[in-house]
Amino acid sequence: MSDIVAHIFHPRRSNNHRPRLLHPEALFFVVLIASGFVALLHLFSGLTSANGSILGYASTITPKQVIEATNQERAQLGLKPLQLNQSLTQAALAKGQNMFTDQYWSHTAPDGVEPWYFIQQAGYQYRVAGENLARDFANTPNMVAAWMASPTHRANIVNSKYEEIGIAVIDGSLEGYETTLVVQMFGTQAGVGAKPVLGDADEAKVVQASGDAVKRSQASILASLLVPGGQVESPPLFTPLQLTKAFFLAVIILIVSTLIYDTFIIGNRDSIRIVGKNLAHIFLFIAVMYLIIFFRGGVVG
Amino acid sequence: MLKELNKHKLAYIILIIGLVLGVILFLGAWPDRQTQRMVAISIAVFYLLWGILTHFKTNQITGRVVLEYFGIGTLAGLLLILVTL
Repeated sequence: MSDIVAHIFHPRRSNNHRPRLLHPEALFFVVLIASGFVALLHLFSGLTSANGSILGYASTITPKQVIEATNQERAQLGLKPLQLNQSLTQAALAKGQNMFTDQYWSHTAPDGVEPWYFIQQAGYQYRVAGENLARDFANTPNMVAAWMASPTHRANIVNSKYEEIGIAVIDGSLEGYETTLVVQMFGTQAGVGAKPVLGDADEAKVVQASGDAVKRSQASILASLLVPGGQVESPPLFTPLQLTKAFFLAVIILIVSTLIYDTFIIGNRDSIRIVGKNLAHIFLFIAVMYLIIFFRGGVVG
Repeated sequence: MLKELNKHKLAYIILIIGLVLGVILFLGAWPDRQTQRMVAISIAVFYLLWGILTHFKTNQITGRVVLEYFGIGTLAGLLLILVTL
């Protein structure tokens, strides 16, 4: 056993004076292990324990917070605050439930239904309308920051043409994970006698430009109900992102430790070998480690 | 390590600048995951090229050295891409 460990981590004759872990073949094996880990994570995403889901995203987002944060962003640009509209909220809720039912993540449903359909079904006759989507965020500030960092979503939030807003924060299961979907519908009602239009051309473009199609899945719906964020009784134990980060950081720490150890051992020997530069590898992995630690989850659409 | 840094000062300055730029671009691209994946690939390619050029200049280049940089670059790039999935 100790011989195998030494072969993997200690530079010696059996591994050509370079820890086996740092050989190209071993590195490609680690690539396979990392890919396999992520594949398994997706494969077993639906695993549940007696207390609920093991994997998923818990959030503290509430509709009130989303409206306040949205209006704060608008106030900074001197724009009028958006007023909550019950019809738009109904439309947002219907859209969110439709995404869970049909298992998709996009502005346009797999059967071609667009956001405007839900708005009209809710009885809201609009002159202009728009939609922002978000999922997998733990809190409102991060989610709104992500929308503001995306030009198309920001354009919706700070659009002076909008007067009203509807928000749905819905917990459910999407692509096997328990998560929270946030649907933000914007609109301005058409004047009396005005002919309803199927979405302002510019707004429709904004909405469609930021959509990501997600494969339709046959996964069963575990839950699809409107609950205020933070009140989920049994939040998932881990988010898939947390597990991925922990595993990848462990892999990097193992490799960096081996590189440091190899540098130290070879530095005390008078042997010459032609291999890659340990210091450069360490710098690269420190940069990757930093990026993985500070990578922010959440998806906007 | 300090000896190695002083010996190839310019090469390491270029490497550090490239990596810092990569870090800034990757974090700055949030929440656009597609762009983040492109940056991850760019970091991996940059590292492979840096390794080849550095070893070429010091006449210490072999097929296995290139393969090692390819392996390290692939692993680093893949970890970043997988975390964005």
